[in-house]
Formats: sequence, C-alpha cells, structure tokens
Amino acid sequence: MCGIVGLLYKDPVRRGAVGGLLADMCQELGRRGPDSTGLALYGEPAEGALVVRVDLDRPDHDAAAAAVVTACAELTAVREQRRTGRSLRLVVNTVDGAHLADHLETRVLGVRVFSIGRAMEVIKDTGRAGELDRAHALHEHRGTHGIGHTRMATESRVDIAHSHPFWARPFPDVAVVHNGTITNYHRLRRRLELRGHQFATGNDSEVIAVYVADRLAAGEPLAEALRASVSDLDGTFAYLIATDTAVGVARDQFATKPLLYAENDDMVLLASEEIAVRSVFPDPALVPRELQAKEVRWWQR
Amino acid sequence: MAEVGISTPVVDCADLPTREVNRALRRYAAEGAPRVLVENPGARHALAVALEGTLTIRFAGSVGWYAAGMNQGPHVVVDGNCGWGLGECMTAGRVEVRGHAGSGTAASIRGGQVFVRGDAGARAGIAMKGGTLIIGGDAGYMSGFMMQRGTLIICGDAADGLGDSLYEGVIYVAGRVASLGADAEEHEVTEDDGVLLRRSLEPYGIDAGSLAFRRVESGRRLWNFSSHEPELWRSAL
Repeated sequence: MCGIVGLLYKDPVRRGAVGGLLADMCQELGRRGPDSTGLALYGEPAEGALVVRVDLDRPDHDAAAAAVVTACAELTAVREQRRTGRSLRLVVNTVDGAHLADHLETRVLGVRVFSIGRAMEVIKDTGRAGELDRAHALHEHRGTHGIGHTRMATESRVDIAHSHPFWARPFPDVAVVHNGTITNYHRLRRRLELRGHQFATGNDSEVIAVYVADRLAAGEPLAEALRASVSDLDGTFAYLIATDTAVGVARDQFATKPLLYAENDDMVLLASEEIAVRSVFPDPALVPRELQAKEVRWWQR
Repeated sequence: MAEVGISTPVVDCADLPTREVNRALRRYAAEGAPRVLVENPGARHALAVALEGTLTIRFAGSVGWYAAGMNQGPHVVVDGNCGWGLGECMTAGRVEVRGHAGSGTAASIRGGQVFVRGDAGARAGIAMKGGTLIIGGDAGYMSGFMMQRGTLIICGDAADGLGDSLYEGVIYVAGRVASLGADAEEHEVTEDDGVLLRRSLEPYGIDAGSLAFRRVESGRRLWNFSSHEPELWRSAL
C-alpha cells in the first residue's frame, strides 16, 4: 500500500504552489505509507541550465557534497549549490544529463543522482510529508505540475534511494510514482538493460519509469506508451508519469490499486483517495472519478 | 430522505477525530434521535460504522472508505462521493450516495439496501449474501463477483467480467455489458422481474420502464466440479 498524488495546471503559463499542495496531499495519505515521501516538481526551466539533485544520505556528507561539486565542475560550470535536507541541489550549465549522472556516480563513490532535468527535480527522503516539507521548504515552490508519493515498502529497502519518485534515467524531465508491485520486474529490467539502460536501485517501480521513457524516447506518444504498459507490466499498479509538459496515469487490468482524478478548466488533481483531494480543495464542484481497470489517461499543459 | 430542521443535531467532523464522530453517532442512535447531520466529513474513512437503530445520518459532503459498514438499521445519506467498501457487511438499513462510489461497493452485504446515484467502481456487490445494491450509473470491472444471494441492479453499463462465478442471487443490467464473467448467463426479464425493478427504482425517481433491463444469473456449471469442462474451470480459477 502506498499513496500517490499529482497536480497539473492546464494553462501552460499558469504557476501555482505545486510543492505545498502535493506535500499537503501526501501528508493526508501518510497512513497509506509512512516509510518515505517524495515529490517530482516541475518549475521554471532556467535558460541554458540543468537542475541536479544528489543523495547525501551518508556520514561524510560534507566531503561528499564538496566532491560532487568538484566532479561536476569537471564537465560543466556550477551556477548554484545548495543543501536541502539530506540532498544536494546544483544548478549547472546545460550538458548531456545522462553523461553527467554517470560521471558524478563514477567520480564520487556511493553517491547517487536522484534527478537531472531542465524543469524537473526529485525531492525525497524517509519519513512523513511534513518532515520533507520542513527540510526542503516545499511550500515555497511554485511550478507548473508535479507528482508525489508516500511509501509503504514491500519489495525493497527503506532508504532515500529506494523512495519514489524515480527519475526515468537517462531521459531528462521524466519521473514516475507507483502504488503496487510489478511481478515481471526482473524480466522487464533485463530486457531494458540489454537495450543499454541503467538502473539505480532494486526497486520494482523504477522499471516503469525506464519502460515508459524508453518508448517516449523512441517517439511513441505518451498515450500509446501508457496503453502498452497496461499489458506489458504484470502485477498490481496505479502509477503516474510526468514529463516536462504532461502527466499520465495507468491502472492495472484488475483495478487492484485505487486512483482518482478530479479536473476542472484550470487543473487536474490525482490521488489514491478523495481525502487527499478534499484536504486541499474542499469545493464539492470538483468531483473525483475513479479510473477503470486498464484505463489510461493523460493531461497536457 | 433526511430533512434537516432546526432540531436536527449537527456533528462537525472538523473538530473531532473519527472515533469521536462515530461515538457521537452511536449516542444519537441509542437515544433514539430521528436524524443527525454530519458536516465537513472531508472524505474521511470509516464513518458511521457498526451502528444499530433507525437513525438517519446525512453527510454534507464526501465520505471515505468503509463508510456505513457493518450497520444494522440506520439510513445513511451521503451528499457527495464515497470511497472503497461502502456499506461492507451491512445486515439491515439503507445507504444512499448522491455521487459516485469506489471499488467493492456493498461488499458482502447480508441485507438492507445500498443505492449509488452515480457510477460504482470495480467489484461492486462482490460476495453479496443478501440485500440489494442499486447503481444508477455504470458498474466497474467484475461487478457481482461471487455473489451468493441478493439483488444487484445496474441502470448503466457494466465493465468486463459481470457476475463472474456467482452462485445465486440475480443481477439486472440495463446498459451495455462489456463481457460476462465465468458461468454468468444473460436472460430476458420476466413480468415479475419488471415489477421488482419498478418498485426498487421508483423511490429514487428512476423509471424502470424506460430502461432495457436483462437478467444475469449463474449458469450453475461451476456448482459441481466436472472433468468434462476443463476449459470452463481453467477460466474460472
């Protein structure tokens, strides 16, 4: 059992308190999974820049942070560096993101890159949403869209790296949150690894991110990738995938995991339970609907 | 239908933990109060559960999962939606939802009536052992799964696997059926069925005569194991 949430403003120029709203929704869903909380937030892309988020969950975090900055500077100029919670946030001049991620993880042993994106950054940690909010000032974030997750770990370790969302490495600005279990994980992972993809963790949800992003990168529209995933993924799932311009959702053939969407002219909200929607939008005119078995939906901003 | 007058007591969820909300409802039921209004339910879980008596409880907004479960008698009205497991294991009473319902609506009910004005999610009426579930809109995947008794009325469409492996009980469906489940069979309705449907739907302002109902029942081929029908068993298990 996990809780997942999402928010997207339909008007491409609209910005809102995405970080705070998603954090509040995650807080409501905390009982569905108290192990960890994470958000993938999409904000204003800086001109010619990438945002890098690196895990610093280790005793020598100061030394590791300095080493990451040094390693980063070997490839590109570091414009900003900031520590939030147990992660390091860098803004760097545009460079091949996948190459940069590989470089950082090779140069600084044990360090893991959570995300590299133009507009997207992954913020996650163990514990409840309130703690994540305080540590990372999520309520100060303004953005276009985002997805979030509260985790009850079933298949892999409880630590920051195994928390959601997962960056669809090496594809920039794509992230996934998932509620459920992918039973053909090993087979899918092997197939994607043969195609050259790398996996950062042993979490079965990561395979969804890479699977869908692999199809998007091949030029497949999001809707087609979502549809294909419903038959290619085996197990129980309701998952959200976010790109720089869209949020998509898919539900498994047995409708085992809950997922609601509520939309109006301004935005769409997604959540495992209505209680999360009501905590931030009590207006009864916003009516949540449950996705059907095998149903996929997507919204473009 | 709950009429809210000046004398109607109000329970405001905004100030109370769920346990206290349910304690207050239980107290009103024990005192024999005719009705109570619950404000700001906020789609919270496990509201108005395990209650007896004839109290009418009206929720001004959506309720969460397992609302009105295990009740024996009360009339629960929800001016909003409800989550999974509405009215689960209810033995008597009535539940009326003005919006939509999540999955597992009226799971394992033994008596009473559950009405959903909008759509119901997957597995509506799963393992019903009596009572009636009426869905004004569409029913989700595998509705009526393993029904053992009772009546399920679907005024809209039904998703895949309708009535899969049902033992007894009857399903009426007016809209399109995406597919029937294992051993479920569709029949034409009889005159008696028509009377039952008219009576059941009238209180909710739905004209049964304007809908093209069919009856879905067990083909009874799964009642006993038969080695002559391995395909049927393979699909059922």
